[in-house]
Amino acid sequence: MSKLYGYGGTILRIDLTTGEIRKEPTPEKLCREYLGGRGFVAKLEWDEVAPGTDPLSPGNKVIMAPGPLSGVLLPGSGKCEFGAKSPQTGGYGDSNVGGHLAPEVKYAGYDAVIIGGAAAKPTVIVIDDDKVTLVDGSKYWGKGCIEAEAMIKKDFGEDFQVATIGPAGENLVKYAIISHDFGRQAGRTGVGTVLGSKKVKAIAVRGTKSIPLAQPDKVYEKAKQMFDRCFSLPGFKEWTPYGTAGVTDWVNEVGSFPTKNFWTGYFEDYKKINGPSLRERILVTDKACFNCPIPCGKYSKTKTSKGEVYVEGPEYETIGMMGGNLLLGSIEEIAYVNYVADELGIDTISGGGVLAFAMECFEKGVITEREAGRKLLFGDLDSACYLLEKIAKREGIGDVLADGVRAAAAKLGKGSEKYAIHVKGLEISAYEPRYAPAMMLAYMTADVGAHHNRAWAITYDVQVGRDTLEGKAKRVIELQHIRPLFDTLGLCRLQWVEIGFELSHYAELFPLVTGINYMWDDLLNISERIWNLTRAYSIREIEGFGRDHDYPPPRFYEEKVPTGPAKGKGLTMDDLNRLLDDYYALRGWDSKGIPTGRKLRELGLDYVAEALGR
Amino acid sequence: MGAVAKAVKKVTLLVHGHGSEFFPGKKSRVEVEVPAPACVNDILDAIGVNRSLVMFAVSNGVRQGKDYVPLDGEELIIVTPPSGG
Ligand code: SF4
Repeated sequence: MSKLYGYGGTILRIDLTTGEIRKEPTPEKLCREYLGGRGFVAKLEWDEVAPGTDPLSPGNKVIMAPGPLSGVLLPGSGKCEFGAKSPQTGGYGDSNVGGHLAPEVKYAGYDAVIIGGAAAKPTVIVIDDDKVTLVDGSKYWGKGCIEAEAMIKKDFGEDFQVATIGPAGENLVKYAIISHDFGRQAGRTGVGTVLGSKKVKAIAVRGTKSIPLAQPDKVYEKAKQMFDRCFSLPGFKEWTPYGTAGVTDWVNEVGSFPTKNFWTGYFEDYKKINGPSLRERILVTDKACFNCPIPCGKYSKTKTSKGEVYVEGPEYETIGMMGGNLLLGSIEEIAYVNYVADELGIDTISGGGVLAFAMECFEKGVITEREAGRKLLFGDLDSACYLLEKIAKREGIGDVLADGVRAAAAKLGKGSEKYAIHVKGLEISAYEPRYAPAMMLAYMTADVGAHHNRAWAITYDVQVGRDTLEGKAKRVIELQHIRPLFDTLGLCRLQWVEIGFELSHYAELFPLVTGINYMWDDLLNISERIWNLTRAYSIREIEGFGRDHDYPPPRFYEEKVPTGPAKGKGLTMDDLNRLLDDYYALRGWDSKGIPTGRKLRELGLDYVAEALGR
Repeated sequence: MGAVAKAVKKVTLLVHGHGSEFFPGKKSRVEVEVPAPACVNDILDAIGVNRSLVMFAVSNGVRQGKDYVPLDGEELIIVTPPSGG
């Protein structure tokens, strides 16, 4: 076997039931065919989690995987992927976190950490280079994510990088996060819930090794060029001060801001919760992940009627889902709810969706004051904080809401399905897509459920026409291969997406780091392979999975946008079917949304074709 | 009386962000000649870029709306929407 450059070289396996810890060399074939990060997660979930496994049983596995470029001194090389069979959707699940975890895992020598079984008592996994131990975590159990992170750093050493879960993860709230770096999260698909089901409160990592590079001098030269390019790009100074919050005005101006449980796409108070409000009213300092030249993190101090707290954020998604979607019209209040959710360990996207669902159910009489324990009102900070606490503790109405909007609507009935805004069981993130067909399709077909990070296509809608369906599927597919590739390589995509950093840099870099002579198209082919594998995973795990699971909630095709710049606009069921038909045809899937045997074999997924009987 | 030559001005657009792919030649630096006076919206119309694709412009470090009229020879930063994460 040839030497693996760019990789730590080892896969670490932890069986929490038996306490067994094993290490094995990272297979070269796995690197060549799935690269790392999201690719490793997808392949390992497929191979190692037996079909039909209950996501919250010991049989499920949490996989933590940096990528081949993580930890190398390049812009934004601090991204780490977490994955597990999702308790929220029952299908493929993954989520990505920045901060400093991925480099540390690589410096400890690992390309993936596979955590299976379940511990008998609260546990902290301590990875200190080659020494791996399972430590009693009882004293941290019940603590908030950030509080626990600080305690663990104090106990084990400030140079450990720590990922934690909060009370929500401990209590198996289905959209619990894994938190890291005092405010960064692997927030989606319930990866924190699965860690909680295994009684893992935290993972602490310290690494002191180096990463072998195929051509170190050239990597250094290229990296320097990339940093210089980042700093020289026009408008670099314009994006960084506001980070992702800088898009709030624009999303309102095009009528796509989630407002009042996605009832409409325009929030009248948006100027009070936008990037400049954040910067002028609550910002303490900018905060960056490992090796990032464009610190999008905004560390803030906020004061509300409920107290004064520090929080990292809010970033755009939280502003959308906890601001407009809950009708909270002050940046201070949004930052406060952000803090509560972060400490409890609740995803602010799904959490915002669930809170808005509960408030609409209350407004429509589906949930009564008696059932809720109080009024649940839009625009009310107390209602939002009350609900988050109830959910995290699974108390009263919180127990119903803790399973997400799809499950809660099924339990509550009374027509509440109409207010459950999700695709595949995952609450939609912060773009109202009724007047953005490509964005709608992106949500419909995202492999983990409705998530913007797979394909953010709304600028394409705006440029080529928001009333046309033509070409939208092609664009969504292109983006679905490019964007997740960053999660596969272990890099942040925001240097590309936000600053306009050219993709060609990454293509040049990959062979210099790994010694594997892949061109950009080779990397995209692998990304397509992974996309088909994750689709296949959900087909294997969810009975009858296919086209029916790709439709958005009825609000998105039965109701037109009632106010704002997109007023009167909306898509019909015929439009959605046209989008899906185009998409499946271009992907080489059948009309039910199942990859054909031919497509799977063409992508080197023969084993998947066999398993699916294709 | 002979025809009066129309005044033309030259403006350089430095396009910030992902939206540059929708500008002519998918470039982040675009030089345009437009009849004067022309505001940012007029310039966008002239080069076939949807006005809604631009959030604002920056001239000499100062944020300007899309009704801003740049001077002849001016370099303008054009800010397109970031993806929100
Ligand atoms: S752009 Fe933001 S998320 Fe990406 S590496 Fe930089 S700080 Fe982290």
